Amino acid sequence: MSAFARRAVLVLGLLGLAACGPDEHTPGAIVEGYFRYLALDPLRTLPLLTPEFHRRHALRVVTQAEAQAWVSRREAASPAEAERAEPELSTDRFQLAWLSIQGRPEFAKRARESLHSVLDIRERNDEADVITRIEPRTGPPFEQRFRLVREAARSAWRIDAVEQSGVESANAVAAFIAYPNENARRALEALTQAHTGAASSRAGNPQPPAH
Amino acid sequence: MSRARGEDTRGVTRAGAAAPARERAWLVAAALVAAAALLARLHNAFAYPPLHDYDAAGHALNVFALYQGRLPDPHSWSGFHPPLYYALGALLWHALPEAIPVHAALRILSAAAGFGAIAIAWRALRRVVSPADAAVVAALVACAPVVAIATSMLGNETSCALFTTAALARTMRIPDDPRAARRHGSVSALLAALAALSKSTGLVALGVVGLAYAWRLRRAGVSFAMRAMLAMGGVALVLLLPQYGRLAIETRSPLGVISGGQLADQAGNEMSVQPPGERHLADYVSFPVAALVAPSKDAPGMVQSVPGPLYAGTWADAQGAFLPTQVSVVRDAAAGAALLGLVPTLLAIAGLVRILRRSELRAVAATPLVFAALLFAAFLAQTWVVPRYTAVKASYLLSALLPAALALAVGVAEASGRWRTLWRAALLAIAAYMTFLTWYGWWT
Repeated sequence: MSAFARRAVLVLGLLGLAACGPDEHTPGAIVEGYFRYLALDPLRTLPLLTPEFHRRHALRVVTQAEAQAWVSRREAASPAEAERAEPELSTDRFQLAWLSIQGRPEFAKRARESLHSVLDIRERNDEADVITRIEPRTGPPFEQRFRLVREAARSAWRIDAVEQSGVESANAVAAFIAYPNENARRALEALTQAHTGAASSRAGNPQPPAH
Repeated sequence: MSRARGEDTRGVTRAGAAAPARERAWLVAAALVAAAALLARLHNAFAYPPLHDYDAAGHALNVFALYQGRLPDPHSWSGFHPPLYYALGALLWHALPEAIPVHAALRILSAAAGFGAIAIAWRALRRVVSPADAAVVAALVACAPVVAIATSMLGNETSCALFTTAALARTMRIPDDPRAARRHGSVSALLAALAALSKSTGLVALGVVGLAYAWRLRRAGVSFAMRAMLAMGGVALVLLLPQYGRLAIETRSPLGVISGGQLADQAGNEMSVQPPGERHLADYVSFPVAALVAPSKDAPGMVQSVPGPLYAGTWADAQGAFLPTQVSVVRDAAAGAALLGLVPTLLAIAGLVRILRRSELRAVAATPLVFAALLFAAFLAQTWVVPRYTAVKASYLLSALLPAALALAVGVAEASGRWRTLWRAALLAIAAYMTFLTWYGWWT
């Protein structure tokens, strides 16, 4: 075997090892990876998350035609049926939104402002909880609990759900950055509208109520 | 031994008159400008915010699918794109250390593909003009904002441009001997198929390359030419059938191979609310002054024009996807670039006229020019079918990098004496300015 061929085999072998090598194993490492990659290396967050995680954050990209059809169905449905009027979307629509929201420069800037620390890790069989404390630059700290799952003992842990506690208007932006999701987005939107409305009222220019 | 056609055309462009030392100085100057452009791409790969690139999230999900070892779902947002760029990106994701963000690695892949295409174009230009003219033009092409921005972003345009340029460059030197031409054609077909495996635009390249060899082999007999075409077609079929066959079956539409089964407008996505909403023939001949002095889609008359945004997207950033055109200093700098772009544009037009008028040049450049004409026709058709400003994106024509460079190179090489020196100096100065313009973040 020539020297060139030996070098080529060595390089290919190293690439293969890199390709097949295990990812980080523990639930704590997965959560650390989540915070490390969020907004700075958004693609690397994808292997850490289950498809159900994406459906739970509920941020999604829809076409204008889908949005119009959804609005029509909601208007025609009773309040109880309104939620069911939402179209069934494939996981990629949620992943698209998950990536797109992290592409906003303001998001990346804010993501670097908060500090996080792991408070507790509880692991049982193929489920685990990782509880973290997040300290924003402004506003009170809050807790973020990650629920992780794995398919079998040797398979990778992935984040399946996130819950937050201690979130209020003063840390709502930091909470959204730590876990971007549709409910938090709507809450922020309402806060912004309330703030804008109050400012406009002070200026003698009342705004229509937010829907 | 056969000799490649086009080898002796340099004489017709009056190359080699200047002293060798002076010519070497031009080579060094062009190399320095190209090196600065390469440095700018590496800087941009990390400095440009994550996933700000055109259709970034869709491209990123395709890479993620291949990272997981599966093909992108053709029904997903950007899943209809062929997989080559994404497969290479997924390999990089596996292989590169965590210190390099995945989106930056994908941009570096784009830059490598773009510079590969430019290097091939440079070699091809040397068959037609002097090495110094070829180097100066290649340096300018590397710095033109349309190329600079596309090679600073993740996406499959650049890999398509690389393989298209490689295939077209080979058609400029098809051997005269039929057997050698047949072997030559198989490799060219492989390269064109790789272009089509990067982006569906490559299908145009594949067709044009096939026709070029068929034309060359027409005198070798129908049976020989047919066998050669079958060999070329076989190579392409093996590579492309799994991708395009799968798309055609899953989307049950001929449009499935280019847009997932329905045109963007019919999908009712955000494009459908973009102006102008309707195209008129006048849009194809109007050229607003804003394209030169305020090269942005938001400037008066721009969205109603096709040539205006196309020009502004070539020499500045008409869509405002990369440069923050709301910043006044950036707006002014972009206007400067758009004005300076007149020099290479007019030189390229002069070069194109010269190529069309001279049979020796026509013979060498025929295939790249036919490809450019077809790609341009397809581009115009798309702007008609999808009457939205984002459909007038200059980077859609990135695969025509070689014919554009050929026209510009002949435009420069045909000038004599001081004019030629002036054009070379002007092009390098413009290239340097455009590298500055597209150095992400200079305005902060």
